[in-house]
Amino acid sequence: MNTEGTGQTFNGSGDENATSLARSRSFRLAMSAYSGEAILATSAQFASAMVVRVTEVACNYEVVVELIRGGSSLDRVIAEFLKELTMQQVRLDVERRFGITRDRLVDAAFESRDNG
Amino acid sequence: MAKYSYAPYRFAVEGNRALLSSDCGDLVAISLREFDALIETPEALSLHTIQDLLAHNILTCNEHLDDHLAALAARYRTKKAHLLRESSLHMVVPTNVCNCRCRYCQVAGSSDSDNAEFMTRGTADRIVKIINDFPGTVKKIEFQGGEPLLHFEMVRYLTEELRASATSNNPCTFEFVLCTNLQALDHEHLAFLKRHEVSISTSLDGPRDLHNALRPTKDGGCGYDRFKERLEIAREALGYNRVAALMTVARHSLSRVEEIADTYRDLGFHSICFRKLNRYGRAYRFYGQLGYSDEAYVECYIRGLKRILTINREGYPMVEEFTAMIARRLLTPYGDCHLDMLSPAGGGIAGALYNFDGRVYISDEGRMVGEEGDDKYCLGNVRVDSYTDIFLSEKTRAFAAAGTLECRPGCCDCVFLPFCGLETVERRIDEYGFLNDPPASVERSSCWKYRLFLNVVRLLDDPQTRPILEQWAFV
Repeated sequence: MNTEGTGQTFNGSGDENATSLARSRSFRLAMSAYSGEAILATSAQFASAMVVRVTEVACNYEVVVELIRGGSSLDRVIAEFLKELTMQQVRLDVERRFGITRDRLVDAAFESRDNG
Repeated sequence: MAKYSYAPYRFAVEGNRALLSSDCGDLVAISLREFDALIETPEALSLHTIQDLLAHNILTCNEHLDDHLAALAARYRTKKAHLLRESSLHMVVPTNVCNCRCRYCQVAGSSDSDNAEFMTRGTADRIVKIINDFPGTVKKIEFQGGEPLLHFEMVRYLTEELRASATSNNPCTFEFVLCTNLQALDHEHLAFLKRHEVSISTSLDGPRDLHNALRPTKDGGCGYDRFKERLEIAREALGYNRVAALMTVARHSLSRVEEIADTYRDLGFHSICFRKLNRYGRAYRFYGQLGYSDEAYVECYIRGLKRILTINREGYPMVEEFTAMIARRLLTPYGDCHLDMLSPAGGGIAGALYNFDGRVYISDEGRMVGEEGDDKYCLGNVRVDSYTDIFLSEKTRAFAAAGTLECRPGCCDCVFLPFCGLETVERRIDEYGFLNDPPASVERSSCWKYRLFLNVVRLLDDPQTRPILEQWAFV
């Protein structure tokens, strides 16, 4: 499965029925869209649900996920993983763009307090 | 060289126009055609529009860039006045004991006599010291509960001690507010409150049946009738404008908001606040019975506001306080110290809550979480910690950072950011753990604050309504 425009490429078995029952899958995430930090932060949040292995392949991250427990839908867990990954990436982007503004505002509050 | 540059601005497309806001809190609406031109070639805009955008700090004139930036900086500082802490709010809880069993009450001890706790003079002395160490010259002291009248000796003591502490060396103005359900109010209390110019903030949840259902008394008496009777006595003693009320919207109130507004008018109140039920602390347990969606709250709020505006048009002046605050922020360059709506969040910067046992919480909501045994929002204890330990700690600083909308996904690019804020203990922060960065899950269309801001913007377009809102904003 190749999802254009999302920066994600999936490698399943090719058989939809087999895929829905699978316990592991690999997919690629474009390095231009996602940072390693966002992937690790997301992986940590899913640590109790699945094992996540990440390697670098050309301009992509190769992510291999394996469910720890049965009973969960791999499709659903991966969908949740990708949703959380987007949130983590946006969080990091916002931090990069506006973190300095926040820090200066907080500094202002504590500087004036020091003077008080 | 281009004649104009863009100043930092945010935008939202709403209907057939674009709303633009500057960093320092100007808001202007232009047509989508003008918005396209603004993005492509500002010079192509009409002179009138360019002047409008210059006046609202969306564009800057390159020829006078330095002057413009200096003006922007001054405006920004004015809007963020709470960071300078000239004024602050200190909530003090003399006891957790209460004579009511409000269904949505967040304070565990209030309905459990085994947990009855009262502040001691030793703790009060330390609170007086800490409040005096807090910078700024205008300090509002709010006595909360439980029911503070049930430990009035401590209200009296703290009021007198704080008043006495304001000297020429400590030129501080104290404003006192007693938050009370009025049930235990007597003439002796009133004589003291009058002498020390203490205002009363009380709670009225609507008509008799609704008020009694949501705020039952422990002795089984009719809380509404007693409230009404004591309200008159309080007004006679203190004056009409020294007694205000607010309400908490519960699920039961949603369909009756117009009746609630009428009740306020019938009882002679000139202000009301449709306060959203929060789900912290003990209230979280009952949220399934009393809570509602943000969507339902916004719908109820807009209906209630419509009723208030009608009441005003009928000749009875009445302010809805949250809308008044939004209008003030949209129409004036000034900031304020509304602790629940600041960025960085005001808890620990512009105020705090001092519990009966000396623990200091970032806010009332933080205390509610503490009541459930989770003290993550406790900044320290006045019995053992100094002002510096409590208010200059890394923890307090981290809370301020976590409560800064300018760096919050979903908020950082919102057109209403310069006017908005949050309470320190936002549900989202709770859900994602102590000081974890909130995720990018704030969706604009589902943000209830965004919708209330937008509602006010639309009301300001209405020539019949605008004068009313202007009056609320400029009072």
